[in-house]
Amino acid sequence: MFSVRFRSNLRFALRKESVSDREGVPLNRIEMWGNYLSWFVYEFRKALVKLVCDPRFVTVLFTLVAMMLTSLIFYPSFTSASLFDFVSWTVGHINWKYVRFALWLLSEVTILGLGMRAFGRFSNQPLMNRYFPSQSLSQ
Amino acid sequence: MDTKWSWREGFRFAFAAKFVSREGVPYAYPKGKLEAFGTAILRHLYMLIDWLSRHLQRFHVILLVTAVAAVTALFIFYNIPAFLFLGKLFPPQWIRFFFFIYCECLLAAAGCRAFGRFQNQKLVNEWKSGKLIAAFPGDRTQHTDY
Repeated sequence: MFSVRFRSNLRFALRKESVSDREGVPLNRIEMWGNYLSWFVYEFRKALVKLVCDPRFVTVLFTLVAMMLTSLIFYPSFTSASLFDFVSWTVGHINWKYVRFALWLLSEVTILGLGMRAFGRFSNQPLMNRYFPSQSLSQ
Repeated sequence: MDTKWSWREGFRFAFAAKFVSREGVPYAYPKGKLEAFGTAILRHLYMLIDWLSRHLQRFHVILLVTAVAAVTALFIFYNIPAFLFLGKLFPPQWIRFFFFIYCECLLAAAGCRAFGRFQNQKLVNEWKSGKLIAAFPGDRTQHTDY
């Protein structure tokens, strides 16, 4: 019983409805800020999927890969040496402390955002009534 | 652009020599700069494929294709003697560089053309509405103007 309730609550907390599903139940301020802060979990994934499914992106990617393979076939040593130089130069110029800090900050902000939007949703009584009608009747 | 593409459909759209309406009339549309550039570079290749597929049953065409395949196999398996043989006529590094540039140009042109087509919203809409058919070199159509 507990697991079912926990799971349904978790699902409710993490769920993001489309605008049409939210009709009549506006976001409260906490949920709105939580939505902004948890951008990486919801919107970034959507944007990434949209980009990867875009045929223009696929075209550019395939063309570049095919041109590089052709270059590897015709001039293998020169191309591989150039690629290795480029990759090692790029990796050598990355400050991994900054990367770690950026990832830490992003994860903290995202977790805070998820918590805020969950709190905002649980304190939104009309939304709770819509999702858990049996509880609202028993009260 | 929220249009869904399957891989097969996307490749057909990108590599079609041209588009024909359901009635068989070539579809004329304003081409973007990228597509026009790619089409200009690829035209000779499409014409060659079209010519080969139309005349492949003739004896001298079969002979030509066989000879080209044999020379290609020679290059792949014994590239140094082949280069030495051809090197009497042309320096081998020039030949390699020429083929390298040619292949890169073809790939870049194919990419430019595909990108230009996917960028052309009007063409995409016409294609998605099912009004157009992709014509490829060697198809049994009367339209050989690439």
